[in-house]
Amino acid sequence: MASYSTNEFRSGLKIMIDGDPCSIIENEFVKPGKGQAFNRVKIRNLKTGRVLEKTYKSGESVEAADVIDTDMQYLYKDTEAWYFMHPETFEQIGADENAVGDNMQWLKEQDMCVVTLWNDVPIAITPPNHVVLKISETDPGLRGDTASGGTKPAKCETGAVVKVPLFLEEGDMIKVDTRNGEYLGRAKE
Amino acid sequence: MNTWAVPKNNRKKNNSSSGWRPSADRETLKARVRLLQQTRSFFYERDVLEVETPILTTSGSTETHLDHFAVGSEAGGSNYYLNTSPELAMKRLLAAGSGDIFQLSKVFRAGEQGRQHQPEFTMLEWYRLGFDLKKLMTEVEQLFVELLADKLLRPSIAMTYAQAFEQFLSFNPFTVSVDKLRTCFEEHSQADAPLLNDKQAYLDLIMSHIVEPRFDADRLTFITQYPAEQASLARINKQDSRLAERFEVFAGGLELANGFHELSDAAEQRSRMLEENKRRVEINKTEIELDQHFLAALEAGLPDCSGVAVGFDRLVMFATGKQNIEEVISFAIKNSYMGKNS
Repeated sequence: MASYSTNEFRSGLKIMIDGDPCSIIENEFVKPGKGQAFNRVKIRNLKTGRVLEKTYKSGESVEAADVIDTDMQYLYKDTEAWYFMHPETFEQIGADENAVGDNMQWLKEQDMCVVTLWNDVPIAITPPNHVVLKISETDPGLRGDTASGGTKPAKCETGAVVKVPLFLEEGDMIKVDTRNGEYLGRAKE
Repeated sequence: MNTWAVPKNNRKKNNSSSGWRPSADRETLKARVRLLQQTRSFFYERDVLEVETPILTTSGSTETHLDHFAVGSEAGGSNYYLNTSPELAMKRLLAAGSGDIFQLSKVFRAGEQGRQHQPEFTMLEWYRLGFDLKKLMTEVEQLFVELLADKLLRPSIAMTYAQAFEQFLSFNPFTVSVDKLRTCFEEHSQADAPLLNDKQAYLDLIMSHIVEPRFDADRLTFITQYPAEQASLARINKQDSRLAERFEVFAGGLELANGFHELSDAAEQRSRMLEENKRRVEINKTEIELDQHFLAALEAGLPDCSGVAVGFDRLVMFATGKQNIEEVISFAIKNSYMGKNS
């Protein structure tokens, strides 16, 4: 089984903690002048997204997590899963609700996403930072009101609800930041 | 902030790799040499002799928690070490009659890398004949106040190792149990305590993770009377054999200096080194051949003295307000350095 020594710790390294794959966010080496050295790490549990801290005795070995990030194209969903395709091998893979989580609201067919695989099974999906979505439902637009600064909720084709300016209408295309859900501007078809 | 002048044809963004550039800016490097100069003047004014001892050494340190860089030659054959500390060589000078001495030297410690650590760093070390710890601490304070004046807004304080634990955690480190230390860590960090070899390692854990970060940011904190188990090369207190004649100095939570009333008893020194080697073997480290020249020097007679080692790069960090040691060294070893592969 592959393992890493604390000497190899760096941000982005994937390790196993309490049976879950985790990614190191920050690694801090702590050593009192004459004493025992430690590695204090901040890690993200890749299954739950939770961030936690852990302290290791320096020199200890930690099991490596077989985690890889792959760029894949989102194809479609059925009742069980969301399906993604590798753009070169055309291999398809289904991700379940646990892996897709809240990001399901940003998944638009044919968009390239990052699929995080642990032992070849998807555990997380990262949509593109910016997506272009069509408004499928919103209150009627107030024509001409392009400056008052008010917003209203708009439901998009993927199910996401985004706060948009009052003048936008159903059928309009908008650009949204998937990291915070914010409206960025109008988009062309 | 990077204050280096950038050639005009090189100002495009994302221009190839910038990895060749210094890790410290020009202002910081200027501050660094000013501090070096001030340090030298401080000792020259006091008639302390500047010395240079080898970086490449034939014998290493037995210190349990230090890892050497072992050096071979291209042609193969004999092995040397890069020095982890100039201490043993400087004590040979003292035994030979050098009188008061100081040194600014590069030292090397494998596997030590982080915000406050580099595998190669600069050590300031000095020895004073006839000084007890109190007198040496006074001199350390004089030097630090001279170098760090505008960052030290309040007068220094001193407390014993036990008082530090009592003040911040309300228990005595000499009588506390390992279980209590584990619970204490877990309560404060909301994470499992790592499994460590002995009580001293748990004390190190608590001291470095919980106690030191609580020291006042704008003053020096002197910690005295370390446990005898952490004596290293310090004498044991004559009145209380649980205590070592050792102190450390912190600027805020940053560990700057470690001082000893130097052990001069050759037999005791030898047995401590053998003990350290035994501990090294227990934790799967290599046994280090004892430095026989050093032990012979102690047998010949080390004058009564106290000595202190200062992490010079950290002094520069504190003086310039830099949070990462890489920012005070012209070309730091960056995080891409990963040590051995597994």
